[in-house]
Amino acid sequence: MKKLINDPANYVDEMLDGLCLAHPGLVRVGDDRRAIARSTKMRQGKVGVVSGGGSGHLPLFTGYVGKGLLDACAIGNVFEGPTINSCQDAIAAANGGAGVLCLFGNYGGDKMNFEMASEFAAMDGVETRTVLGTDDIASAKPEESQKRRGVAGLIFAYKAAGALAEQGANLDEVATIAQKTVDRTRTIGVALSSCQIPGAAGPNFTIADDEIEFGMGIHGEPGIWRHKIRPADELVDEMISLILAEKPDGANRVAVLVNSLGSTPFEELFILYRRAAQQLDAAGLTIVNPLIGPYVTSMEMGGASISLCFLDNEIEPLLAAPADCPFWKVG
Amino acid sequence: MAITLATLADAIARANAAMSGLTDVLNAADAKLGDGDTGTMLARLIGTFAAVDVRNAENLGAGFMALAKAGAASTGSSLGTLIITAMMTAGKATTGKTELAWPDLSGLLAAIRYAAMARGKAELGAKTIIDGLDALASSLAGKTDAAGAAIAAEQAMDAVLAEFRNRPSAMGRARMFAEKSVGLDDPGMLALAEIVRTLAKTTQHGATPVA
Repeated sequence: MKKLINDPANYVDEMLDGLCLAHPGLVRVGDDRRAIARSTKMRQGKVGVVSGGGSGHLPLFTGYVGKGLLDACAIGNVFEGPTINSCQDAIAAANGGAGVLCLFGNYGGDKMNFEMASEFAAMDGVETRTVLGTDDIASAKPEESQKRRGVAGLIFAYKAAGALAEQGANLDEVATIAQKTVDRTRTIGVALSSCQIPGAAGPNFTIADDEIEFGMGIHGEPGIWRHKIRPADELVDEMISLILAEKPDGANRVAVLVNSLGSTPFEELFILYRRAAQQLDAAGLTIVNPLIGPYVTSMEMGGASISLCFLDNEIEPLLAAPADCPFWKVG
Repeated sequence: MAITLATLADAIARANAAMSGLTDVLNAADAKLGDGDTGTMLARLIGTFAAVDVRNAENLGAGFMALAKAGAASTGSSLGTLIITAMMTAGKATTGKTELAWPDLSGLLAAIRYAAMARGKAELGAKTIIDGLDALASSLAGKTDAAGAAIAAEQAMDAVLAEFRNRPSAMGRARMFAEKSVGLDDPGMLALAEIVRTLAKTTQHGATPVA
């Protein structure tokens, strides 16, 4: 695959340099500068909200640092968790004396590194809580939902936790709303084509030109089935059907994210959204604040995901609260 | 003779030298079900270790902790973090000590295995590096010198790879490809085995220190 890069070894650092130049509200922090923080000083008494993960998913994770969202983010090499040091740097940058919520996807390396960083932070007197994004319903059955991966739906938890933290809530309250939002968010994706880690000899996975993989993860993790490609409406029907099978009792309003995994264009996303909206309406659900676009990608991977966050009276106003980061503005 | 800072520094130098030939082997093993970067990551991590002035650390504990600290800035991968956890565990266990007797190495490796299980939330038998560590720790029980330890360790690595090769993976990314993992070596276990083999061979053959 052709890429517009220089030395693959400099891929992440050059990307972060460009991101911060384009968005002066962001700065690189830490000894190895592998954490991104807001350029404004952390407000004392405010709970910090941090995330982290591998590169290759922009806007996730670093792109959501901004007012009403994340305070800082640790960033690793492509598809590799952030280092322990980066996690420590992110936590330190987000420490306003009221504790720090570590909110990131359910992946082994990320968990271990944030866990170790949190232990180091505790030695420095910084209290942390951890909430894991587990919204990918294709990655484990409902009875093992704690094993699910975190994918695009994680941004709803960023938004709710970030908004509540801005309002002055304490660490336990911010962690609780983050967990509640995760618990009420479901995502499923479809992959059409692969991506390639810079410097790697070949693509991350292979898929025939006429095939689609239903439920594939954002690093090419296997999905539920792989068959010949089908019409968009059929795919959306199956995606929505699987998500609604896990609809929380009493939910009647949903936030919707139709997300491009990288190379799938807006036109196709709107075709998917059109059908999703029809199906949700038929199911008696009211759509609130739909998001359509590349919010969580896998470099040049082709495909899309649909996320639903089942709202309640607590989450909905937090999603509507003002926020401002390079890739998502509200209010 | 016991394990000293010089032994540790020499082992790291030998492992680092061996990585030029192992990187592609480990990348290829990882590429069968994963990202294909295990060799590259490990080469970077061991290269980072090799740049640490372990030989002049205050004591063994400080030496291991210096390695852990350097490694923490080098990688964020699961395998890398387990190796860093191992260094931290060894550092705590040898705090203030200038040497470790060979008969105590088995116990230290067992402690590392427990720490890695706790950190990685992994169980024995899941076909990971932890099974390799378990086999290594068991094989060194009662070994009182470097030569005896080297022979036992090499045999243990051959045996544990053979034992697990035809089992499905039950942990991490490979568990999602459980059926496809049958017949393949776990990349982390293979990495441990290759490093142990390198150190064992050079120990048995009385290699000249690399650095």
